[in-house]
Amino acid sequence: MRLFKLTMLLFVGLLLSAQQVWATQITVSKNGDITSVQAGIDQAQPGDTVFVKAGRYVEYNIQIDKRITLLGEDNAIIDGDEQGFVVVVKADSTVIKDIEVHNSKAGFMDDYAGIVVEEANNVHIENVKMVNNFFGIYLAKSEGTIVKGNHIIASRQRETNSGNGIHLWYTKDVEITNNYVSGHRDGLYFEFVEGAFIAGNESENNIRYGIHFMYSDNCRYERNTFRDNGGGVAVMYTSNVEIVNNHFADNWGSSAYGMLLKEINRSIVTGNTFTNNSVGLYMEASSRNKVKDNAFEQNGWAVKLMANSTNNTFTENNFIANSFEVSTNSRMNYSNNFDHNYWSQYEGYDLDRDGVGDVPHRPVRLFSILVEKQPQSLLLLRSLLIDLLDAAEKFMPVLTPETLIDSKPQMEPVL
Amino acid sequence: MVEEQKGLTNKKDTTMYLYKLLKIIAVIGLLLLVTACSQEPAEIHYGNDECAHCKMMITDAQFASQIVTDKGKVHKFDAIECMAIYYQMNQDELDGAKLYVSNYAKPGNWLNAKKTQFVKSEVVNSPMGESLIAFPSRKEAEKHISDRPGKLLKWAEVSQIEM
Repeated sequence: MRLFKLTMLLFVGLLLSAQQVWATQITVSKNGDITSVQAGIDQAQPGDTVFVKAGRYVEYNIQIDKRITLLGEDNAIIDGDEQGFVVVVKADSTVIKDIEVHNSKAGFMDDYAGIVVEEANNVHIENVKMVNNFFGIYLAKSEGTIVKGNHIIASRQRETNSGNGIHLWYTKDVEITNNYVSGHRDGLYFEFVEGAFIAGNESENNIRYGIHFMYSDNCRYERNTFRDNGGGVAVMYTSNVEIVNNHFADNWGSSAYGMLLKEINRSIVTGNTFTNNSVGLYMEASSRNKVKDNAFEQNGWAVKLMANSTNNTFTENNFIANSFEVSTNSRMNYSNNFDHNYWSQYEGYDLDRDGVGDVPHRPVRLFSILVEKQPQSLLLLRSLLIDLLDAAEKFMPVLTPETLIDSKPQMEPVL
Repeated sequence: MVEEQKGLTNKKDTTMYLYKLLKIIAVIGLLLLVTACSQEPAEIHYGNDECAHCKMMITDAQFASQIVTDKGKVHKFDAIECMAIYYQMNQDELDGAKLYVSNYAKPGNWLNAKKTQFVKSEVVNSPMGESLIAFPSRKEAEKHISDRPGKLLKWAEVSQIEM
């Protein structure tokens, strides 16, 4: 009897696993039996593949409520016709690949998106081309999701009311790699995210930030390029972020920063380049961070370090051709260390030829303090009077923070 | 001769006209001077101005707010919660200041924060995550929460918010 039960169990098990193997493919095409993506999904069994042939399928609020793989051939376009969400994913382990998603509704009150993943885990979105969606990919309360190699563009008028390219809210352990995002409000947006790995993305020409990070601990982002975004990049209220080998470039404007760090603790900023920004790196209320091996080139201000930032280490960075190397808003400097950097504005000498300047370098110019207090005085940037003032201040510091010095300035660029 | 006279009267007319114009301009100028010091809400340049509290760029008119001090200095904010926190932190400097919030249903219409009906929404995401939005009347706020859940709040509660 027991043997019979066992064999039955085995048999049922085999049947079940066989079902996995015999996953069928359902084809959706303009002139076939199934002409709508939703109909294809409705007919699919969990584990099936829905394959969409080329053509424009005008559909919105497509529900994926079981585990399927949605594929498309070249020029297979799902067009939401600005009526609502385009694709809504509710099932774990859904795969969406090689397809195009266009024209979600633009929401004034709702966060409409091209692809929304809500309370579904291990979803895989790859090589999807998204055009003119309000939000591109929207993940909420999702774990283990992979967003890879997607091309997300919006060419809406620069209205303030526009959503984010890749938006993550309350998600865990996600991979966001090799995506291209432009024309949205924030290219990448992370709020309450745990353990994200963000690499090789390119985010440019977005209205606000290339990447916007809030309350998202233990994340790492590397090898990304953030270019020409309205405000640059903002990372806020977060501990233990690793920011490695990224490029922050061409962020110009009165409130634009290569990267703005606010209330960031115990984090690492290494190997990044900050080029052509109004402010390369802005730090406020941030502590115990390590800023090493970065290149700051041709920025208005390379680093703005507000007085409420403490115990940060800036070492082995290159500061080349910046109008202001470091600026701060107070005479107080609480144990921030600036040793062993290369400063192109360093005017000292190296008589003993050990590669280290014999005179400490003071990267904070008196003039930068003036400018902090009176922004209009920037007019005098290249004037003789200001040069004299700076020179005098270098001899006898009166207004600039005395402890903010590099006592071991390098004679040659360090990178 | 007649023509000359005509010319003269014409000249006279134009000078008179100019005088009038000048007068009008002067009056308008004076008015402008007087109103320049008033505490009207200032224009916010979305996508350019930054929040005085959190330094973020202000892009969303639905949540934008501002404080106008009695001297006419303007502090702009990207969210109601930022304004509330800033107001708590700098209360001593903001005596006599006016606080404005944006009407959520009609962005760009400024409401007096102290007389506004606020909603802490369960579905709307505001820039700093506190989900505070403002309506001109209790009726409109109730209409809003009838289909999007949220809690009614007054300025007294909003101003005590902690983030």
